[in-house]
Amino acid sequence: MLFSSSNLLSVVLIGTGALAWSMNSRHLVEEPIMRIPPNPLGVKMSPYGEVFAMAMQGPIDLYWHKGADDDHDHEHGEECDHSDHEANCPGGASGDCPSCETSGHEKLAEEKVGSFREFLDQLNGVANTRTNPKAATKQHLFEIRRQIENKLRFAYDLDPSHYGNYNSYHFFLTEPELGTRPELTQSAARLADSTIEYCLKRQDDPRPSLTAAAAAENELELMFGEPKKFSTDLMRNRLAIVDYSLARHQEISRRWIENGNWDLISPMRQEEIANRYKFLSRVRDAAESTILRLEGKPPLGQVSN
Amino acid sequence: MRLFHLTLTTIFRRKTWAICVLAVMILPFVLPKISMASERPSILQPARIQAAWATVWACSLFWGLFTAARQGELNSKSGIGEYFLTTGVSSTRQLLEIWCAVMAFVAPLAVFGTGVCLAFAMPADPTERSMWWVLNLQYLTLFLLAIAPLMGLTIALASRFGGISGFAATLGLAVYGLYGVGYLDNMLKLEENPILQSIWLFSPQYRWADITQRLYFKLGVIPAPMFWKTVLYFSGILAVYAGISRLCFRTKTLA
Repeated sequence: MLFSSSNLLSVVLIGTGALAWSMNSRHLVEEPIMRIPPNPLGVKMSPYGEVFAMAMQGPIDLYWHKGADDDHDHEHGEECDHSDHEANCPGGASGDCPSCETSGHEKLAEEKVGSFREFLDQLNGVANTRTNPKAATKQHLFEIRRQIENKLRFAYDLDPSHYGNYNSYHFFLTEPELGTRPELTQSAARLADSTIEYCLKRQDDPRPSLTAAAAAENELELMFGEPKKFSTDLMRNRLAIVDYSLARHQEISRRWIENGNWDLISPMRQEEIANRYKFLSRVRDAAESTILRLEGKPPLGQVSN
Repeated sequence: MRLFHLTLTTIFRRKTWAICVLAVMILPFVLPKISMASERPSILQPARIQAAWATVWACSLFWGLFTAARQGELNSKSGIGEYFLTTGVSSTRQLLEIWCAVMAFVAPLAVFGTGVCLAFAMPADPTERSMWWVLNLQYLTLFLLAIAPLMGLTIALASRFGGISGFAATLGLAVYGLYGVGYLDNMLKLEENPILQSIWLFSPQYRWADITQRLYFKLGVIPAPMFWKTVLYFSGILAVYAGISRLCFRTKTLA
């Protein structure tokens, strides 16, 4: 009864199907064209991924204040003074760390005029405000930092050309006190190289060029930390990438002004881009002076005796 | 084909298919407005492509599989299957007719998605246009080959184990095949495990049917030998699922 003609047909179908499935599976998994990295709904590096990457800054900021910056506990938008924090950031007030980069709390707080909005913010705070008098344990803080790191990695994967996402993740990889995995300069250098490669392929937006410049400057910063390990020729190579990226930013910006794309960006974000450009230009000049010093030449603007 | 007509009419009268059709036709034009395409018009078409196919996949996996599960369960629990069996419609024929009715709603969603890509995201370069036609037809073929057996399996599992089980099992299988296998592959690259490696090797790799990124990045057509190998691969899965579905499908409940 088990091997009636109907059941036999099913067994034959399963057998031949399994044969075709397994034989082709072996061939297909070896084909480079079929090696597709996981990317649910293709969201990473897509126009939607870029939006989600910006939105990711909110959760990262929340974790940051709960974990990495525990003694700096406050409600967002009120009494938020990041001056000390910015001073300690490698990028200063440039937006290199999640707290500096993301929210612009003060501006948002000024915009909050409606009482209903304030009420909603209060309710929102209910979920996030810490009332436990006992401080979080070291292990708990470590886990929170790991959450930040994972979120930073995810945000970076969504949009590797996002200035804040790249710099935040770089900051984590290069700060031993913050990072939770033994990934220091080598990982950071790889991250910078892949970011430069990705950003310089982008011809349609002036912002990725700034991220490429920031990545090259971050590599320079790592090289300056170990001047004996890296030659000044290598440093000059990275400096050339900075120059190329900044020039490219200017060129694409000019094109954007001409075709009207620049007007599609809000004034706040235009100012943000201009500030990043200024900051990167200043860091670039400082880096050149450092290279000259390492080469034994007088720094720029200094007259030799 | 009376069961086919009955199932077709039942799904049509429920009207939920209209939500999927509207989503596939409207979202590719609405979603790009909340993407970075609003700032960079040059990526408007890629954003449209992605929205179109993401909607097709989401509608097929959630609404399509749910509808298939519901119809499979209804057929065995309501006595319809038993009635048709007494009129001489065999269980395999019943499975086929229900599957045809469900696919009559799911396949057009993919055709609409392809239509959006062809009509509203066609490359300007004439040399890329023929490539675009071929790539879109390749995508449509692979999508239907991947999703059609899942619908049949859902109907069969739901008829035997209930709608929730049928829907959850096949949805889980589809999500695993689309995304889980990629993450498992990453894990296996970090740490080898022969058992997991075998499971991975014989997992249904539905991610090969999702070629949205080929469209998005304009990577060009899948080379013909590779395409036919992939077709054969999914045909193998189709045969296995068809066999399992025939064995699983019930026209009446055990109770």
